[in-house]
Amino acid sequence: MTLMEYINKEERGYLLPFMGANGPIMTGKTMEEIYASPELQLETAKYMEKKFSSDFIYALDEGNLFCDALGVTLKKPEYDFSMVMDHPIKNMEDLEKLEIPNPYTNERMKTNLKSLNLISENIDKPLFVSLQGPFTLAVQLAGATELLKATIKNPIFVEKLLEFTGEVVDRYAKAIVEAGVKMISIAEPSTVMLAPKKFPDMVINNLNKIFKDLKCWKCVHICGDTSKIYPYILETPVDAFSFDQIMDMEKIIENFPEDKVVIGNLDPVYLLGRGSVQEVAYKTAELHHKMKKYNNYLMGFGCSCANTAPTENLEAVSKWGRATYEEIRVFLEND
Amino acid sequence: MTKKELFEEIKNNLIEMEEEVVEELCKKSLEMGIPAKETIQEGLIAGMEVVGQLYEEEEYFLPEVLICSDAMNIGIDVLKPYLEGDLSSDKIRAVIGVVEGDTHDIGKNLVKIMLEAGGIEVHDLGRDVALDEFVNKAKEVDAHFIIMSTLMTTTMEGMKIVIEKLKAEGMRDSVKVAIGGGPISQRFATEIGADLYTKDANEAVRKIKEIHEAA
Repeated sequence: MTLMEYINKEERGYLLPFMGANGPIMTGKTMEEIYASPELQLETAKYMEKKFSSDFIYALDEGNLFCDALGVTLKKPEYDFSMVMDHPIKNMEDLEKLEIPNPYTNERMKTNLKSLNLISENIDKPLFVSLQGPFTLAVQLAGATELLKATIKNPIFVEKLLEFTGEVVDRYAKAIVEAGVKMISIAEPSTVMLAPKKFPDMVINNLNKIFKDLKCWKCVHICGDTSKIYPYILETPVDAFSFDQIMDMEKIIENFPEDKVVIGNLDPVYLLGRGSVQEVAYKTAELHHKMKKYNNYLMGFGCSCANTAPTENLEAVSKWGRATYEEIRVFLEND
Repeated sequence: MTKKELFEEIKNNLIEMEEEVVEELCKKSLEMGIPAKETIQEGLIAGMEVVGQLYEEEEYFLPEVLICSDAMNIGIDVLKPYLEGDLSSDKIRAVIGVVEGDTHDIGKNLVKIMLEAGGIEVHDLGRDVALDEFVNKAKEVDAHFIIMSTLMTTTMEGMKIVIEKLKAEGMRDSVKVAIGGGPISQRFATEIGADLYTKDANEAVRKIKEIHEAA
């Protein structure tokens, strides 16, 4: 079944939530505890599915998994995603010392594979995973300022670094698909710093390589205004593109290829994090109502859900994000 | 070469990212007896102003701006020892940093570059900055502005806390607050009581100068 077929199986809205650290906060288990234990990963996924049912299983975000596996210094808050504290790859010499982590032997990756396999075998919904993309990983390794300058002053280094990061992502992506992952979203937020004309060399080549033989539903998420960027992404064999909350979904979808899925874009901060339950219910229903005429629309969040989003808001989005179009019509008429 | 021609050469070579040439030309300006402050203003800063325009027009992107900024700083390093008198007292002083919990600093670095190019004295606290540190540094340097940035939805609330801390310290009237970053909007700035939100670095420099002049 294709992603398009899946989201058109029933006469209702479909929902793909991008969760933050909401699971760990609600279950009281720290990020590291969950990452380290396949059983806890499954428990958390089951908890989230029960509490905020959606059309996908969203495993706890991989965050800086690749940097962790490559030995980059990270700051690891207990209930939030880790942060890269150092950018150790300054030149070709540093790069040559790095080895591409083997997903089946690297401890952190190996544990993740077990977790994903366990979740996919125990919860009967498509398992969704978000991975850091090759350009964004390169930025984490080399530092944004240095990498951007190197695009002009040392393009060979950038080319080699991107080859390396592309291979890291490619190997892991293939391994998690084998483990049971049904949909992968490559997150490339750092690419907004690039001139669009640099996209083919710095972003598209790697995405083409990764997506080419990847047997799952494939998505790309980039934050911010991506109106000049997403057409490049659509040149790759991608199934879907996920948009930030600042984008106008109706305008986007009118010009979007009908065979590719548009994902977005409930506001994770103002709506899910700070809105009232009534606002969440109304905005969720309203967005589905506006988009119901398009078969290639899948509701998602504009970015990761705020960690402090109230439980009631997430319950409301779960309810109205998956309601039938008839239920939505009646709700909006009576509101 | 006349003084005017030299300034033009510095400006053009800065725009063309020719760091070594800029360095040589700044040395030459000293040999010609040109006051360092004049070379900075008419050559380096004038060059960065053009770079800012090119960035706004999307002729230049971040990589070009960053390298031009390096060229400017190389020139400033040559000229700095020859600056006469204390030039800082009449300058706008700003404290800048990425709020605690976030390490994405490219936006902050870009704003810093443009502020410095605009003649503003910038005290850079770096990234993942403890919220108290913004207030403490502002107090220490008698800052006119605190400028905060974040790229993450999860750390935005820290900006509001800094504003509350400024109020608690009785500094809110004397220190203006500017914020920016991916998830930040005018709506958020208004909600938390920030004085300024801008989408890009050039606009930040212009607005900061306007606010300072109006104060």
